[in-house]
Amino acid sequence: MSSFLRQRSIYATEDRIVFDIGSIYIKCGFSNEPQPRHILPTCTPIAYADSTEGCRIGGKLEPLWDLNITPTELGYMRRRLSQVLRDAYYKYLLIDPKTRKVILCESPLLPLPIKQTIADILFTELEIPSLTFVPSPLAALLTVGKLTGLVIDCGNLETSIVPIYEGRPLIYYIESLPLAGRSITERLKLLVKHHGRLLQHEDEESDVLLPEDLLDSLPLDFWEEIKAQMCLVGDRPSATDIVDGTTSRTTAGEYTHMQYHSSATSMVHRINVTDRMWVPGWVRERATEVLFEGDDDARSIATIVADVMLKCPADIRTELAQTILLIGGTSMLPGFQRRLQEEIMHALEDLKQYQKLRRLAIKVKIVQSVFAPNSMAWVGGSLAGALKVGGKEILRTAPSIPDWTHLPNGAEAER
Amino acid sequence: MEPPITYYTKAEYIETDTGNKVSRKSVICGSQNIVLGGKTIIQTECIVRGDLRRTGGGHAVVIAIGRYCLLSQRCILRPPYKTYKGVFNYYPMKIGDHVVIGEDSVVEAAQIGSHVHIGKDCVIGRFVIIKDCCKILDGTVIPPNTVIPSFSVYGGNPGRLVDELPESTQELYEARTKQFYYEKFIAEHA
Amino acid sequence: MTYRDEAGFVVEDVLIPPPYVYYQCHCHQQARIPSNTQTTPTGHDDETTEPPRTADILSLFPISRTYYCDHCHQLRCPLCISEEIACYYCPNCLFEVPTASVKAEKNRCGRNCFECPECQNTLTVVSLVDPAATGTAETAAGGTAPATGNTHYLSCGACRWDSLEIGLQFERPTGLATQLQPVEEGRADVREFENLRLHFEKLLKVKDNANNQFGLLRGRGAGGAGLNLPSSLLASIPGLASLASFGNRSAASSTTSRDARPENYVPLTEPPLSDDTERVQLVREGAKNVTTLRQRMNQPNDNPMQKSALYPQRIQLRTKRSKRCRKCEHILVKPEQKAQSTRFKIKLMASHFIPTISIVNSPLSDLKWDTPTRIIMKFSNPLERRIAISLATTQSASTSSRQAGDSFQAESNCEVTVVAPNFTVDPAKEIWEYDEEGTEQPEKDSRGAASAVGIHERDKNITSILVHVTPRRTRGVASSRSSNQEVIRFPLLVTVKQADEVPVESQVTSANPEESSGTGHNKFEPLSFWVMVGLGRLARSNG
Repeated sequence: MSSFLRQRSIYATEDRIVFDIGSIYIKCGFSNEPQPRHILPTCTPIAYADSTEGCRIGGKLEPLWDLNITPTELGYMRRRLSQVLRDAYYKYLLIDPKTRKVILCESPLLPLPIKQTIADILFTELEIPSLTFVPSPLAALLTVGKLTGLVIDCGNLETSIVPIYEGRPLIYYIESLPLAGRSITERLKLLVKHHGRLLQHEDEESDVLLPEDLLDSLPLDFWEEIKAQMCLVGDRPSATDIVDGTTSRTTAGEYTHMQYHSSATSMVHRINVTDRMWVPGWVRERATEVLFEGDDDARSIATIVADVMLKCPADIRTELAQTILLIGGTSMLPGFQRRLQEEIMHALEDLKQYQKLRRLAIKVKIVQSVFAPNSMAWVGGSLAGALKVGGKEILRTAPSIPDWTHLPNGAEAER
Repeated sequence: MEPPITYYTKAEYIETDTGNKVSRKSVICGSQNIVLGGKTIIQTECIVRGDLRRTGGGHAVVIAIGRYCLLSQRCILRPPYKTYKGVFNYYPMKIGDHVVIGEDSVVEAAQIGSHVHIGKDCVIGRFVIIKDCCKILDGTVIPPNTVIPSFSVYGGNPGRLVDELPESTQELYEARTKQFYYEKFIAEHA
Repeated sequence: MTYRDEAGFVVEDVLIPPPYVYYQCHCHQQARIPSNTQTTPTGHDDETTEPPRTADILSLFPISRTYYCDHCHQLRCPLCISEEIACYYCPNCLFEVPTASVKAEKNRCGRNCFECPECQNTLTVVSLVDPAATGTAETAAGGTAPATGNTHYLSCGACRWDSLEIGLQFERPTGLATQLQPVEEGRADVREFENLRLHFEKLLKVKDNANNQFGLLRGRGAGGAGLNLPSSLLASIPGLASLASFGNRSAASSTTSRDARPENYVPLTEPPLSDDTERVQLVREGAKNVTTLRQRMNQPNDNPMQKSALYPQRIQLRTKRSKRCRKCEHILVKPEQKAQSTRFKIKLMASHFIPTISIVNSPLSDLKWDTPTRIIMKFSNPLERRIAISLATTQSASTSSRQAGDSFQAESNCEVTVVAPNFTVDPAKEIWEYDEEGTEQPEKDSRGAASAVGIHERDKNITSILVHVTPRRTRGVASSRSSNQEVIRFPLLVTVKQADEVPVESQVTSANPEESSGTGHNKFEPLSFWVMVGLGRLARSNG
């Protein structure tokens, strides 16, 4: 078949730039294409020592924003984001920002100041002609060809559950939880501190715990790498999997987390030229338990999914349960989908507060797609750009950001 | 921010009439095949292999270095070699003007342009082509056959593009090498 | 590493290692104004500039990176210029790529340039020479000489990966990109995307035919809350007319025909459900074959976890850009059109117009808390006119904002005394740029009698002055995560004015005061800018 890539005019200026800005990764590319051109980590460049040329190298990965952001942090975030967006345009997309309209995939829970900062950078510094917002969960749902479903976005800072019915996000029923990629990293750090070992030089085994200052000095991208290469999500632990009770005492101090048996092998990862980190297999498998254990209020990802389903009107619950879509980078961990399905079914069947939903348990189905979950929102934005649908187009001459918290009849969204 | 003044004993350096200053303690092999552009400094314990030349007679320039260059201590310049259709051969190396090669670096590139700054402890692989106005950070290893375009900053092992240089790089490096030659490399009479 | 001091400012020390002298242009002030107000920026006057806060550290640049707009007579930093792409070229083969091909090839080189999926270095084309083959060899662009062997493959010089590991071979040594094209286009997600697009387009078109008006459905109130989807998608579901009536014309729903019911979408390829088990097993067994994040992100379409799924990407193009001042749209930097040339048609760098400031002795070891240290700062004048420089620090400057005094006091962690805040710097003579044999060393400090207190040395177009710096502890409270070291830094306001031409007996240089060279102006307007000077680090020990 002759490729549709060639059917488009080479001089097409209708293609828009699609951005999906997350807290540590930015996905960018052109609309009408099936994948983002680039996934860029948001690194802050560090100036190279004593260079009159002012070289700024590589940099440290840190999240662009946090869940609660203060105005000073906003200013700092603005500069970092401005640098990343400039790089995206001039080094990766290789295009003049003034020539293309922009589609921005936004999460419905993104705080308004951040949205305004992004729009401000795009309009004033990069001088784009117009900007269109597309809600990420809806865009992701388009990529599986559906207009109704329950979208679980498991990113870095938080996990959000957005039910969508017939193309409209039901924003009153959105739930979110700050248990996501970052909490896995924190738990992994804790477990490695207590159970990991330091291998130096040519050691094959050792009993030396990793020194705390070494662990603290490891940058975020190191932990992201470890997560990507080592972590997996195991099945729901049965009673025989648990080793200890809740408290454990090791030479690194006392802590209260569980230890498990596991069939996963231990792994070694290189820290620097001399040191390597040995990580036991069960840590690799169970670092992700933090997402399913339940926090202080006994809320875990599965329970908030069940909460959302409880809140939604009864007639759409079945359809929602049958169309669950997982997006976001953290959901790409091997075994995540299977475990989440298991957890949701367990919550619906066994927990008392979800009695009404018991019949839904067997209908729970997670939709599969050929697109990778971390770029699914982006692909949806690209699709929306190709179809020329989307939110209101905001022109550079009249910038005003739509605010989800304000409804036309004046009522504030209750959350 | 200003580099310190380096003193050298006048007896240790040979100064040619074109202003080149070559240390007697450096190892220069095949000096008849090496061309120095003028006002170039070769510091102590450098190794410049002008003797590795292509087989075949004639007077060939194996290593050509431009003006105001600086080869720091213990750096090694070796022409690249290749086995082509069963025949082993060395190829000439050409270095432009205002090039600084840092200490302990090993350079086997085929061509280095002008206004290039190479850091310490670098390894430049064979047949690397470095165009004008580039910077190689300390400790970089550039794999063979890489082409480094102008105004790039390469770093890491294996060397990757890390940054771009500003447009004022040319005059900046020129001023730096000239300043080093005239003001910061001072002979002290023993 | 970040921490907040008492005033709540975020302080970032690690980003620029000292010693440094970084310049700041006025654009940082506009950035600090919250963006939803559409006020006009006020920071244009030189008198109302504020010194850089340490939180602005990302908007400070060394002089080599700043530009000068001679139309606005202002410094411009890389954050306040707009860039345009002048030409595209491949960084490996250095061939210029015409703009039309850039879009067609998706910003990648269309010739033989590939990068290794494991280490992202360039791959070379290697041929398996068939001993029976005869013929002359041609040299390819990469420097290797492929013979007319039968198979050619790609090999990495850095990590020894070669494309035979994934079974990728070529028949001809040139035009490799075209040989890979069919593979790239037959991928599952490409076809799936096209299928989705056709499906939705059909739906939209059906809706269009059924209704003359394009009844756009607004989301529940909020402008961005929903897509503008045609109401037919909604109305055709029986029993949901109530939902359809949110904000749209109900007349549309009644006239929609039955066959506008959206059919369920069937994906083109059923994604394999067993994907997860494979991946779980892969990682469980311990990751010899698992890719790194960087390798995965290089292939954004499938994010492969297995090393066997990595394949070489074509090399990304690079650009040469021309830069413009955003306010007056004058071109600041214009490179030559040829990809390989390093010359510029227009190049207005700040170092040609503004004195370059540097620190002569870097007192990294001399710094101690509460101990005055002497540093020497060197100012070099690029213009062919004598300039007069006035310096002011936050302690001595009278800044316009009222709360400036105390809060900026908290910002800088040292007391600075400039011994000679006003001084002149001699003009640069063009003749010094030519290297001549035995260049006469200009008389150092010929105006010895005029050397005032605080001026360390005068030499050609350079003046060095003395500055006394005493590090003082700030009132900031560091969190436990911050580094134990603090960078001693202070902002400095530099004002450059044209000094009156003092007739000097021995050194009359360019005869006519009004010269028309590029670096001089007939009327040199005074210019002021802030500079952040970083000296060194000190351990932040308590007590």
